[in-house]
Amino acid sequence: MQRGQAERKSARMHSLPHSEEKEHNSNETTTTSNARVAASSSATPTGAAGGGTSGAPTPPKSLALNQNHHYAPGSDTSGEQEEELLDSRYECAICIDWLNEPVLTSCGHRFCRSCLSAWMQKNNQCCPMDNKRLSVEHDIFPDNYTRREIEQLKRDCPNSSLGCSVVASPIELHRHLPSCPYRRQQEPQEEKCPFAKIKCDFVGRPETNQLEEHLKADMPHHMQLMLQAFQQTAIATWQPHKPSTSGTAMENGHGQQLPPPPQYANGVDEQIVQTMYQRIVVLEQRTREQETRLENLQKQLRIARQQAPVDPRYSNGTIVWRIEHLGALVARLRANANNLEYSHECYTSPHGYKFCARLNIQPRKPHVLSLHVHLMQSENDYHLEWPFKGRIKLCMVHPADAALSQHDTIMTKPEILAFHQPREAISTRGFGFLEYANISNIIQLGFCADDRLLIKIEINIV
Amino acid sequence: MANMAVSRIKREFKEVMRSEEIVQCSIKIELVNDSWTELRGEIAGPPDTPYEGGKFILEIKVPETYPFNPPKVRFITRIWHPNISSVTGAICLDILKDNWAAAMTLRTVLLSLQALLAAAEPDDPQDAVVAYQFKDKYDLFLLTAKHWTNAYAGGPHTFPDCDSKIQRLKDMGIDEHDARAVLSKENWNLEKATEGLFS
Repeated sequence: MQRGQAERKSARMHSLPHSEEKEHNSNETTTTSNARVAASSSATPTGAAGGGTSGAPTPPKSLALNQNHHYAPGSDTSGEQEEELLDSRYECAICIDWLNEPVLTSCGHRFCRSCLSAWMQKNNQCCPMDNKRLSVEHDIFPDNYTRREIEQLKRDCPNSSLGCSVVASPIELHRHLPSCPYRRQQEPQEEKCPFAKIKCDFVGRPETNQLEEHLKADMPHHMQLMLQAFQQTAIATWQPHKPSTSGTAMENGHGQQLPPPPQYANGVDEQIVQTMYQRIVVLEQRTREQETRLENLQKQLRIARQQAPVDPRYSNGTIVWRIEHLGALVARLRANANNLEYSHECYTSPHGYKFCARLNIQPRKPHVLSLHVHLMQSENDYHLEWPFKGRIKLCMVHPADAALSQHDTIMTKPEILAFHQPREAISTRGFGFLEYANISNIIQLGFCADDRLLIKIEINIV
Repeated sequence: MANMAVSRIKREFKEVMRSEEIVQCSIKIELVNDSWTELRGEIAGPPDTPYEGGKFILEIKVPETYPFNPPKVRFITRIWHPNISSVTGAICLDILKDNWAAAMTLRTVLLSLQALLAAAEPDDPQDAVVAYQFKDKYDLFLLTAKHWTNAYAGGPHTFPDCDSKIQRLKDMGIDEHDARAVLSKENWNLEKATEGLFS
């Protein structure tokens, strides 16, 4: 706390008009890089660095690798943290940072004093926001109100998770950070190579791109390290068989002794490479097998899930119509004569006529079900013979006793319009029984077990 | 001062990355080197313009004195537009010159360029030839701009007639781009273009 106060004092002293500009800027950059150290190392569950850097355990890695491509999400975690809190009222449009020594223009815009004076010196005397002419003497005033507001915003030092107890305004934190005692402890903390686990002892300074360079340049070294690591884990379990080249070497008569296997630079012999290669092949094959198996299983699962109904094209003119919840259906059909219940469709043959069946209840006879068969339009219609000629068998199946099932057969007649080529998706004319079955009979005779009725319709060409 | 430029660019980068436009893929920005001084922008051709469907790449150089001086921006993708040089990609846009303001950002610059594509200023041209065509033969201007968008920026409109004329010149040993430039300049008059090339 002592320290923080001292800092604040020195900050005041610095805040004289002219020495300010340089001071502010140099502070700013050091802050960002320093804070980055802190933030990346403190990306622990305590989560002082609330930034969305993913992969918290290895921030240096993502940092180094990403910088090349788009923007580096982890490169300025301190900025991230600040920005979430940064209110546009307190932001300088020139440095896009906290207003430092804010000034207000006569056109009503706020900037850091140093930013605006730098702008006024370099360019015509205009406001950076709206290009209104500004005179240094008459149009720019210190905005002490905003300065005090920002001073009121007390925040924990980004190193608070490391034990720093300084609480100060954002501007003061900028000045505090380079000299934060807890930050100093962190300084020797360096960026470790992501391959440190396999004994790469490289360390780089986080604010440089040494690690990135190292990752690019020392790839062969990393490969060798990986090889060694693999050797240690795999050699115990894997028994390499002799390299097949030994036989030919003997035939060639190159002495009785085999030449020692050529050595790689780091002392890993060829045999291990071969072993690894073989192992890789085996593993690859296994993976492929597993993948195929998985694919097949998934396919089966998909089919099972769909419980694929028979393709109507191959239904051979048979509709097996399972009507669930008959009670509810009857109620619905009774409620309105226009309520119709259609079955799924069928084809008499893959290139034949398309049919469906329909149930309804006539308002005049609410106790009987009507059943009709309807021709449907299909892509086959143009090559078929019209009117349709055939036999239609209707069967209301008794679930317990086949002998009780009700059978009806209809023969088509050419003069019946229902068997002419349909002009609508489902022919408006159907053929069947206005009084197909008495609903109370259906229930009494036990056709309707579990509220389910089964009607089978077979349509054959004659 | 360079420190200020870098820290600002870093912040602006985040601004662009979080912006609506990047979600809609209408603008994009990428780093070219590690020093944050050179960037690569990309803008989508605005709808209802001959540039629709094209992706235009921009070179953005951030001066040491940024944001007190504007970034230097030019088109890398060739484009047929009165305010953009068809040869160098140099842009004539007031905010990139005298009317720059420190409060502007990369995002606003890219959006302004998109707006420039939608609203050309033929009276303040960068490319006099294009500007003349724009004012005098607007239909041909539209055709040429669409053709260039197709040829260089992946736009959807193809013009077999233009392609066959270019092929004719290519058969005479002219480089494809030169052939396109000359034909565009000569309002797709093959004879005049040939004359211009070989006289």
